[in-house]
Amino acid sequence: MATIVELENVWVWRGKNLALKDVTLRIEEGKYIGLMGPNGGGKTTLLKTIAGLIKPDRGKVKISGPISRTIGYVPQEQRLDPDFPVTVYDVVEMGVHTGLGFFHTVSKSEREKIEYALRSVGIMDLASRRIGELSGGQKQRVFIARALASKPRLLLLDEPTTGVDTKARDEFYRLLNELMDEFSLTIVLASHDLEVVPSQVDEIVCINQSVFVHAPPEEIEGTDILKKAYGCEFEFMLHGRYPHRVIHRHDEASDG
Amino acid sequence: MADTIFGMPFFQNALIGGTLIVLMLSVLSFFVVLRRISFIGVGISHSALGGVAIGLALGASITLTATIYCIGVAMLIGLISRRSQVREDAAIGITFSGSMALGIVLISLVQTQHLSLFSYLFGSILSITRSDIYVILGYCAATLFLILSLFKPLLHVSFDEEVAQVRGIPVALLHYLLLILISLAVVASIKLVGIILVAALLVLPAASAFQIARTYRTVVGFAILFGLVSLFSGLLFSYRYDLPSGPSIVLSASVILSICFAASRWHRSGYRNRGG
Ligand SMILES: Nc1ncnc2c1ncn2[C@@H]1O[C@H](COP(=O)(O)OP(=O)(O)OP(=O)(O)O)[C@@H](O)[C@H]1O
Ligand SMILES: [Mg+2]
Repeated sequence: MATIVELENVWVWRGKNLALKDVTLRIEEGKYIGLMGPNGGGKTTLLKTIAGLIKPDRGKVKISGPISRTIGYVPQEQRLDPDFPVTVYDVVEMGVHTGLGFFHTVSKSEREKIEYALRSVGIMDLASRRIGELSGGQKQRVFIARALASKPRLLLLDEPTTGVDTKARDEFYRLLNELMDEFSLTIVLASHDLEVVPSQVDEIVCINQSVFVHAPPEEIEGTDILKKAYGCEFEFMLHGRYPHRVIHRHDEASDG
Repeated sequence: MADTIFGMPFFQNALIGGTLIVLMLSVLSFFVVLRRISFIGVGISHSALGGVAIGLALGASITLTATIYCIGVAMLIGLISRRSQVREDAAIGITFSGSMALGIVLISLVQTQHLSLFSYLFGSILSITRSDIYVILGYCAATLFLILSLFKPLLHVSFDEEVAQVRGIPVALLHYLLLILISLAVVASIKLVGIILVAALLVLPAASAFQIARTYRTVVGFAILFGLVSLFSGLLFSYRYDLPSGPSIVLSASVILSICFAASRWHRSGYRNRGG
């Protein structure tokens, strides 16, 4: 299968913090990747590095195609100015423009792309609402529509279900599945939804500075790899019962 | 009264020049308010005094020296604001107070009879000549062309810099461009509005428009309208009561802001009462 993203021995420092340490990763076209790892583990840094927003201090990032035509990026929850004077439609329109584009007007085919994206995520009825007047989950859909409007081949999602209730979250994952087929996407999804993500994705990448594991969920089930990455007792199961996390007492040493 | 003053050449010049200036400042104010960079506007405009003074000291064109000086300051501030290690507000404060100090010292040294520091600081309705108007027209045309043709990318960058960058929009370039355009508008405004108060007109028109309008098109439209109304009423006041033109225009703009603010409050409380 064709490779869409390749990272080779990538090191990234953010300020004084080493965020990515010798990360080598290959993502194949059409795969659905769940990116997991603890807070500060480097998920956001990895996605930004793939999207070209962070230049690696060492190592190489290869994307198969120009970034603006290949990647749709949905950032981690944003502090948004509630009075920003744009509608949902305007935001999704931002997805179709590339580069400087003097006197940019929306062509017919661009309008179709915008409307298709709006419909695909089910927010056509919100098109003329102001962005600041939406709920968190609705905003998240707008940002996905904006990413889809550029017809990307690779969708990078950074914790899109933060603050979304359980029902909406399940719907959201169903939507992602549909979009993946409809737009023939490769998806990299950073998420803390340990109960859901393993049952959804083709491969799990677990990262805490460096990549602890990159494998299909079936292979990780029942092993202690995630436990090492998260630094706590953790295991998940794919089938049958609810996946679960085992909460242990702290180490004797840290109990003092 | 109106018939007589509109026939006077100096008033016509002030009116034509002022209209062009206000068009520039009002459209720019949209992005100044949106991007919350009003303090950068203060920094660039106050620094202009340094550029004016250098022109006076050298006997060179003030427009030229002020333009170069302001763009230099704008680039410096732009560089600082994109590097998080340095405190932006402190850097701006130091740059503009240093520039003003330089300006006052130089102007004091070359002080002549017919040179009034006061009119550079606060603007004078009498000061705009025919040839000034051509300069203002040039600056206005360049500024409006660039800002309107690049409106969508500028809007996108202001909304979400990261996604804009992923979309291939040159984020840093647009940031610097906006600061350069602010510099041009500031220099064009010195004679009529004055160095001290031009920063206010880089905020007030859009700040008022944001109170009552909801989409970017209407905000920009109202900003221009409010700018023009402030200009006309300010110029009339300035003439009628022999006031410096800058403060008159800014006062009118402030009155408009108060009205818009009150209107939006009243509108919102109306909603609450109906809801509750
Ligand atoms: N702007 C920044 N400046 C300096 N260090 C940063 C910055 N952003 C992140 N870091 C550091 O880089 C490391 C990786 O952070 P990153 O945001 O990539 O983690 P993450 O896995 O996305 O975490 P989360 O689950 O909380 O979103 C952390 O050590 C963090 O402290
Ligand atoms: Mg993150």
